[in-house]
Amino acid sequence: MTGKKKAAGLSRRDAIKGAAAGMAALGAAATSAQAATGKPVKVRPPSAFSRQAEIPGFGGARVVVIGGGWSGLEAARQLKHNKPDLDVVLIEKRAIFFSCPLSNLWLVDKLSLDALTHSYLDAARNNGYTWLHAAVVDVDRHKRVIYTDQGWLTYDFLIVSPGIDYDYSGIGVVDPGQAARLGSAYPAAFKPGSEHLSLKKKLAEFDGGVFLLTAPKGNYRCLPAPYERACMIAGYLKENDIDGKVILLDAHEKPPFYPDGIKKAFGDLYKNYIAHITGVEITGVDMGRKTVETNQGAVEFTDASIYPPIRGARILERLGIAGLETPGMFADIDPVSYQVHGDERVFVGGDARPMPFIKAGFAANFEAGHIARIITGRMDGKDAAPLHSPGMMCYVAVNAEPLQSIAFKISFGWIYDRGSGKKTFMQKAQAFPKRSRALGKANIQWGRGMFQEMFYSQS
Amino acid sequence: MGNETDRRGFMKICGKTALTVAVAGAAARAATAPAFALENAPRVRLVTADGKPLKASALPMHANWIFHYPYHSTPALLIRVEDPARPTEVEDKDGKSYTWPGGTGPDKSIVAFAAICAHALSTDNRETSFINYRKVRNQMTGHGRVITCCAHASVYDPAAGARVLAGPAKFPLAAVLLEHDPKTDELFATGLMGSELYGEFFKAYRRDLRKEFGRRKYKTFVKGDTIAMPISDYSEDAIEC
Repeated sequence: MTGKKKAAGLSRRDAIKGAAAGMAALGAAATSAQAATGKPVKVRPPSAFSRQAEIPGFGGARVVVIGGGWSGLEAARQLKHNKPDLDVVLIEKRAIFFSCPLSNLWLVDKLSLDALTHSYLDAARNNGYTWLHAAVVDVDRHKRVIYTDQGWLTYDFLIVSPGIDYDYSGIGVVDPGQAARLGSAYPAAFKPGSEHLSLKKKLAEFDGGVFLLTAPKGNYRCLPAPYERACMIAGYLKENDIDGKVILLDAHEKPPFYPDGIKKAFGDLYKNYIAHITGVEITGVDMGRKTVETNQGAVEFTDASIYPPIRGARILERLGIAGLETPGMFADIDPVSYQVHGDERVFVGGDARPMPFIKAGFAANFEAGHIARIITGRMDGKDAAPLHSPGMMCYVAVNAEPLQSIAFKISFGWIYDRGSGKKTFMQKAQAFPKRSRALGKANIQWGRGMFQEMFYSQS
Repeated sequence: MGNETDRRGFMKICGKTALTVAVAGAAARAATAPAFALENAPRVRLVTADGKPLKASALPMHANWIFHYPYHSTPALLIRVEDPARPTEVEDKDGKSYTWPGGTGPDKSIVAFAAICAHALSTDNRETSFINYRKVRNQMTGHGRVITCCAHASVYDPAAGARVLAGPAKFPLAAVLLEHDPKTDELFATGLMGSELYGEFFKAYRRDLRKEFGRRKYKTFVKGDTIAMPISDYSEDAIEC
């Protein structure tokens, strides 16, 4: 009833606005000038979102990026870099950027919060795009209209970089209410913001006993992070003379990212502070008894940060672009063109991708530039070469005091396989397992450089 | 005032002469216009820490030295490569090509580049030097005789206009133009070529630079002499990667 009433009450101005938007949406990468000569098509947004989002108009083709993480920020920046006339809108619901990369150092006071948090206003202003501080509610892909809590807007191309959600059913917690309670009591702290602040508070309040961490199965976000976190927390316990230890329950029998440098740190820095148990399948969590049930028996804890398996962000389902039949329900995209199957206007980047390469900030960042090139290339009728990354650095802090890190150089992409005559996907990692202060410094500088690029550079 | 004008006029002439000598060979082959990165860049003499002129022949082979140019706060690498460095055509950040004039000095082996990574501005300061030249093959990149930025593993070739050999950087380090006086064996920095990033650099590090170099001085041009020294003397931690 209400819906009808509101629809009838649409003012003439709204109707005109709506019509203009509809045209832009239908025009194939049409400029608004071209669109104005076309036949108006009325957009009928859900009544609650009948207002047009208040963003500056550019008049040119518009590319919208949903999600301002390491992928979305770089995609918006690179789009603008490739085509300065493009109308680029980044939609992000968070009020500030909070980095997951480097957060383990901040957790134990080796880095200030300033280093991790940055302003979307700065990113947008310095790079010439628009930040729409809004939450996406729905997308009409047929008409190319995005509905947000701040109103609707149209797009010519859309990049969706929504990241991940947790899949608590993967550790035996199937009931959604129970999963929500678990996520609140023992947050994984891999979706940055409040989860990370809670974890830091837990550490500050920790007065001994078992601090439980878990490394889930699958290609989870940031493969080395659970080990780095174990090192940092153990270092914190050691430094502050806290009578406790870290138990790291590792789903993998043979962890995919457990090189000598981490093993060595566990052994010679934290022998009495870290118990690393491999091949652990978690089958349930008893929050009342503070016990994790596993295939190797029950494990009691004093406090915990429980990292369940991950899945593609739920909004993919809402948008109808989740690979529902695939493990993790990551985005249903072509792995080379990044294009959503059956929709040549929508692309997905970042950790929501289904491809097997590492889900980490640097990878999402590099890939985003590639997706931007695909889109601006398409506007110019050019095809982008398949993704191929240079060797990129990934640092893992293993000692907090003094800060020492190990490093990896990782590259990924499509390579031509002579045997099959086809392009195959590959990922290479070279380890620099000797921990050093130099790599520790480089670790921090690495982040500074990345933030510099995403938020402050004007080139 | 008159004095100042004279000096400036003199500098202009000197600069021009140096340029002509430096790029004449290359210009004959490629008709690329030199991409000067800064107008009115100062002409300064390189001196050692004790204030005496740095003699080109005294610069050791594979030197990884630092001096500040063109501003008091902006570091540049001074390197002596093994073989004569030939003029090389490279592209700046906008894809415009320019001809780097090659090495200077008695064996055309002395080169200089801004120590500001073209990827994400990692740099060299008193505390830590992230961007360094090394003769030895470095662990992180597998390259030897290169300039490596240890933050993200960008690798530049000092013998070829600092063109990018590997890593995420997309264009060469800005080149500092050098001039050698064969009579006195002195070295002068006379200008810049390629993509200068000083505006971004100041923006990124302003707080630190003001503190270390003075609140106005950090953004003024060096004058007269500038001190060159091994990075290992300048920086507490010239990191290897």
